[in-house]
Amino acid sequence: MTGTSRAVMEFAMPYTKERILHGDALAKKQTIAFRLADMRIETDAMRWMTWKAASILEKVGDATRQAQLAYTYAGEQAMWIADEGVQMLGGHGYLRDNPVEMWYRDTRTVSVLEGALGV
Amino acid sequence: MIDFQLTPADEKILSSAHEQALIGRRYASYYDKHEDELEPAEFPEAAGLPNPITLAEEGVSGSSGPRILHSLVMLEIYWGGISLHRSKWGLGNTVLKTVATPEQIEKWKKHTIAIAITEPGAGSDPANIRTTATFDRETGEWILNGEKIFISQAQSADAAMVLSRFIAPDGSRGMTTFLVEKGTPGFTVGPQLKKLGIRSHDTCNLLFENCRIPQFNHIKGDFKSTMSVFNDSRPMVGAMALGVARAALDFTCEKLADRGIEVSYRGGMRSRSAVVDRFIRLEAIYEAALLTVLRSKWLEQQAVPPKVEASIAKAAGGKAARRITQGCIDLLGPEALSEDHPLDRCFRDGRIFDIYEGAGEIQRLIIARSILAYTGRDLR
Repeated sequence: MTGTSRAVMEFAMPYTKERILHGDALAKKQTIAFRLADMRIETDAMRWMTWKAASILEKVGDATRQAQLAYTYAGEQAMWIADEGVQMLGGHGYLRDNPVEMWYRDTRTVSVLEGALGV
Repeated sequence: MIDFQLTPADEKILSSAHEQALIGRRYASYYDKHEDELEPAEFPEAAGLPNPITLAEEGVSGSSGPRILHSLVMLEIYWGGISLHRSKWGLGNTVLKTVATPEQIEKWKKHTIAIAITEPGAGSDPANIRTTATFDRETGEWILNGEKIFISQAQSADAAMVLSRFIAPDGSRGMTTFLVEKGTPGFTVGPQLKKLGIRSHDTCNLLFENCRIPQFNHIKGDFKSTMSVFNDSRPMVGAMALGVARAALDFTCEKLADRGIEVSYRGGMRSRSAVVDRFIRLEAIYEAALLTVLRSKWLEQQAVPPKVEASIAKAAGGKAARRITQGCIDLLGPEALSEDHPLDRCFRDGRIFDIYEGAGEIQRLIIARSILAYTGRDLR
């Protein structure tokens, strides 16, 4: 989910810089720029949580709590990021040819694959 | 390669900080209700106890590093609500250390220096300040006029580092800083401000009326160097926010246990109750923000300026304190809003961190400019 989030963010940034709306780049509108900033904040946080859970798994063995927190957080934030990515791209993000459409579907699936944690 | 475990040296200092935070907690409620009273420079219980902040800053052999440890100590102190040792360091000291001459540093190195930037019409936009210093050729002094608001350590500091516009004798203009000592005629400190929370936090407005400043007190920092002090303090504010947030989480967890609700991390969302699911989501917000703080502090220790990461840590910490303290009240119900309930104070205290030292929106502006490679002119 950190991967899909990073993919969405890295796709949305150049797109919104090039896309002109009312005479200016879409990324220069605070409503878009702030959401991109939030994508960066949450992608960073997801990455460090994943690393911490993996580190505990390797060094301690039982990472139940940390894995649960990482998975819960990533599930929520990644879905938000994928959703916002589609929104920023508008109709283009809804087309099957556009990778953001794929990441949106993929994230929805990955963020409910909690079987492994249930075990 | 990657290790998130605390070292024994970290644990020793953090354990001492925690013990002191437990004592601080006894006083937190009192000073919350008596906001006109300034806390003592050192509480009686602190006598003989080491100041964990000093220990962290000095660097301890075997620790995770002074910057990381300092932020974790601050988290513990804010978990308790009050420090047993009043800080002798203000952000004005950081400006002094960064830009003053050796003679100026020597003169004021033992002073506590507050930083004075915000004005009634210039909070999130400090470039808009109106306080102005003009030079008096006859006396060789600067004459300062203006008002500064929401100034931390206003009463307890020995002096204020004031960001001001200046008009030089040759007519040139710009921004610079002046060190104004307490007792300087024309410099008035207002009463303690009545706040939603952090009521033990010394916060007043400052007034400068034809305040004459010796040329020696002209600390030649500019706007950029003055604002750069926040690069270091932003992740620290994130850590403080998380101290309050963790106090709320710990308290909520205890109360849920009293009601027979155990927080289990096993199983997925569909196998747990709504209350436990909500609690885990709040805890996840805490963990997420904590790791952004540690990341920023780790970069500082590697001598990499964490410009974006400092803002990420501040934004994440500020948002976490808001969401977590509000969410914990949802879980415990209306009794949590009683004035004597610890969660009520967490809820009020926790709201400041997304406002001061650069509101969450300003942090997002900084992050967005950086990741989009925009200038301040491109993205306002």
